[in-house]
Amino acid sequence: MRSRHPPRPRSAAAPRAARLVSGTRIGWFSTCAPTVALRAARRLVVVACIVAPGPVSAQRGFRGEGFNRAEILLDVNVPYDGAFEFARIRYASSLGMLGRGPLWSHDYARAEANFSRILAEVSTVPTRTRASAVFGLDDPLLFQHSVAYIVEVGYWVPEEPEVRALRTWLRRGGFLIVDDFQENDFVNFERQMKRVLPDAVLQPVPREHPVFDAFYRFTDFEAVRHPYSGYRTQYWGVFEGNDPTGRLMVIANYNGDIAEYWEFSDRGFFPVAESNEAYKLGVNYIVYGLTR
Amino acid sequence: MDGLDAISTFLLKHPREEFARGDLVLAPVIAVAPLVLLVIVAIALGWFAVVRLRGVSWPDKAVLGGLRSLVFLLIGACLLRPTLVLSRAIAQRNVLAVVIDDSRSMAVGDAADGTRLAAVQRAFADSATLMQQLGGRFAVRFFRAGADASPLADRAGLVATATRTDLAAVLADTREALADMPLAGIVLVSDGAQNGSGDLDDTLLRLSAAGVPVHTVGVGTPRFARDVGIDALRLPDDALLGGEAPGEVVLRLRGVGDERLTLSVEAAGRLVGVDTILAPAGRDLMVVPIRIPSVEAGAVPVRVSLTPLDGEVTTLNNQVTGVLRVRDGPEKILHVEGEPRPELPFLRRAIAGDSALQVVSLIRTAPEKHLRLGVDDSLELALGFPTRREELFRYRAIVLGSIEASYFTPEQLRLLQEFVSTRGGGLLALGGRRALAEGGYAGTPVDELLPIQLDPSRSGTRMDAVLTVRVTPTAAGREHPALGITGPDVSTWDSLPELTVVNDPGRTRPGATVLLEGSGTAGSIPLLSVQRYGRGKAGAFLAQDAWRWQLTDRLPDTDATHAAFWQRVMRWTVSGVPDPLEVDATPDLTAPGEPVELRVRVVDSSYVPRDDAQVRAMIVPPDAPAYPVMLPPDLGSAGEYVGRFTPGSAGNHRVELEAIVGADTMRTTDLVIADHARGDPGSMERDDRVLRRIADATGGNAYDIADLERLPEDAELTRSGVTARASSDLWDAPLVFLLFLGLLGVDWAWRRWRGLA
Repeated sequence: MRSRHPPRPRSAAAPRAARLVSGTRIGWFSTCAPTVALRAARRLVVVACIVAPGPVSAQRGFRGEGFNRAEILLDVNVPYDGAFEFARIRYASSLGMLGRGPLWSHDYARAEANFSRILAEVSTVPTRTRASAVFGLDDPLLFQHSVAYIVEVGYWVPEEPEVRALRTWLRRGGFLIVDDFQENDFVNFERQMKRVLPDAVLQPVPREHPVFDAFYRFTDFEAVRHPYSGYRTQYWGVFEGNDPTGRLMVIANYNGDIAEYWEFSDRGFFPVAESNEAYKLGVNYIVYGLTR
Repeated sequence: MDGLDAISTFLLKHPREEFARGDLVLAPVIAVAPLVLLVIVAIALGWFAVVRLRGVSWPDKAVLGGLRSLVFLLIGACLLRPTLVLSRAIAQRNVLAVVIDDSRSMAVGDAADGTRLAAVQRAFADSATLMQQLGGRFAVRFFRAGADASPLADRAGLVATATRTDLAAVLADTREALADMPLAGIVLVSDGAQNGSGDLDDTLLRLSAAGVPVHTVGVGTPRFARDVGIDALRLPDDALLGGEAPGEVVLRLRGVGDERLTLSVEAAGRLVGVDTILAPAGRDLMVVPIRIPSVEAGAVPVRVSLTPLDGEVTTLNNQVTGVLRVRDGPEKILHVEGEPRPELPFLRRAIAGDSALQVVSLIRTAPEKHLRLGVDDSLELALGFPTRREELFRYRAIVLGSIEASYFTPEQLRLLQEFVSTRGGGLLALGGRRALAEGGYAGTPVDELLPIQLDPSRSGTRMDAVLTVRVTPTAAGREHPALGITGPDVSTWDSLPELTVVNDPGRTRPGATVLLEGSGTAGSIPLLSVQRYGRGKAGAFLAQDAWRWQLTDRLPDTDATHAAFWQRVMRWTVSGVPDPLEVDATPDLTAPGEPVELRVRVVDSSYVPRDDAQVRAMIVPPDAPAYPVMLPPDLGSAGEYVGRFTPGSAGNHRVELEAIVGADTMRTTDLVIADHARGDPGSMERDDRVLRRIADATGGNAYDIADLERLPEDAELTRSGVTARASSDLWDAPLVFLLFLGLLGVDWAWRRWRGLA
């Protein structure tokens, strides 16, 4: 499989670790986009890719390192005030990519930083552009957010308390956006979702579903593909009561990674048109989650 | 004749009643001025003679002069010739109406030897002395009193079944029935218990102006020794299908001490609630809240009954029936939000579970860009928030979310105010970054209708810190229909997660009611407050995130508190909101043969009253062909039309109303239930205040059924009908002669005592 990965800037002089700035603010050097080869390699060279998931204090942020040296400053888990903030689910995994940080953190924090600014710019969603939330599913912070985001669910194996918390959160109104997984990752994702919602059925989200028209009228489904594999992204979902006309509880970008576009939208790695479509999808997801 | 009357008759030749009813006039034998001059001269000469006496002390002169002056004054008074002029009905030339209450309360057995009705029938039997005396003076006409007055041929026809007593209508009808006859007066025989809607003051004023005295004869006991009764059943104007209508039962307690009572509630013939109440000793009245499930749409009879107490005077007042109008909806609510936020979808989902409500959401997702949810068609709200009355007034309630006042034009803000004040809609303002004072509403027309006073200095600002509050209902809130959330899946208030507030709580307006309080580190704030404004109502819910009551892991998965809360609040906002065509049937529960008034209110789509409508009601009896009743305009009230019909048989009488306004035709239906066994007996105790008021206002007397001896004579003294005016001099009354003798005797005795003879 040929990589469509953009060239990676490297700088040995750049720091490789997160740097605490003050209090809850951390300096974060975003991870770089991995190549498909690396993706494949991480399954093979497990030992080399292990990155310890902790110590991840919700209040102190977390540590990670990557190839991209651009510094993004985001407050993490600031006190709740009712405004929307991008909420990323953190989870423990024995797998990781060398230099990419934990799996749950892929594209953090440039993706949410860029996306939050775009969201605040184009919509009236009261968005925190200088802060985001990162928490585990068993963290009470989950219930301060009605929309949450999770990535790399191919390697996501939640603990039982996390399963119970997510089940409650989804049943009581939460909306989960799943991103950045492909190929056989679907098997694990479906397996874990069965644990969370035993009666739920993952099913394709119709193109005419309101989630694709919540803010932008999204019609060019061919335009958004996985940034590296080139697969056409498929949209799977879990509906309340398995009724496609009911509330969409989970939207999953299978064979997609829209946050990758967000992360590098200001770097010119990807065509502007594709980045725009990725942003449209993201804005639609958030507006859908905050209106339906 | 009592003792005072005997003395009055002996001294003044007439009983007190005649002085009360007659006119006291002066008929001087000579002109008043010379007469006064003559008296003055006589008094002066008397004083002159006394002063000239020698050997008499000045105190004795003063006493003697004073006594003689009084004698001259008395002579002068006699020369003024005081006269009592009495207007007296001429025998057998006048009609006396005897109106006998035939309501259910007359069947109470608290009279001597039987029921009240039996006591009346005995007192007014043809063979009774009273009737012989009345018959010797008047042509007596009997009437049966209930919701109105109808001629009564035979007193045996009284059966005490009327479900309504409207004394105003009864008196007016009686006078009207005898309008072309010389009516000397009316004798009203009643226990005074009435539940009619007529204007008694107006009727009494008309009778008083016509000089028709109304004598009242009270029957029954003013206060029962031991009884429990239902004084009133209060039901809301309307209710929505699928919910619970809040009501109240007013209990009257007599001779009850800390006893348990069982209250049963039936709706549409089904038992929907049984409650055990502790009736405390020493209380006369008790208000018991009830909840009636709205199980079916339309006019639903609601029956409340109390189990009888041992030894209570009557059980006739142990049940009461009312009619609950249940709307099937869906009632449209317009929710306007200036920004997508979790409160919106969670509120929509909460309401989605209530088929009687429909939330139409208009969300500004970007400047000049809106998302519409729940609209009926593609045209609804296509141009954003309505700019015309008829477009806005189609909704029954409006929810203002986090959206600043400057979003609206001044005209739209004024429309919002009129929506509440004129259209009678409900408005609920939610907390949010762009809402309330922070949203710049202070000083706008919306500010005026809110239950909290907004601080104008807060416009465009943000709170320094988010207030985190724990929510508790106030005493008023616990009883308020907007908060009656109960059920197996509803949590207690103290178990609910805390909410946050980003708005200045302001100050509660006088007249507003605080239903929920938010307690935080900075003290308590009014979290949910409501008030009436014009024809409608408004509320302010300051929390920005009631959705946290739903999205929580602190409550069971099945917990439905959040949904129940919003459904209750939204049902309250749309309750009682009028339609363009409204009908009020009075009473809606009656007995066959008793008239029902239909009052219809017609407005156009802008809720402007229309007097040019053609209004017709089709009455559909249960066992007879439908017949029309035309409703002419009530010239005294804009947009109102009035008509009457009388149910001829028992059963449900459907009222199908049609109002044609220009090219538009509006329709609605109502229900009138006619049943002998139903009705509102109200208080069954004798109400002397009402009887005394009627007598006093018309110049009549109030009697007890056991003491009617003077009634025939008193009824004769009237200015109404064919009367003769008789003058009676008072100068020759024994009292005058005695005064003369007394004064002269004192003069003589004084002189003898002082040795001045």
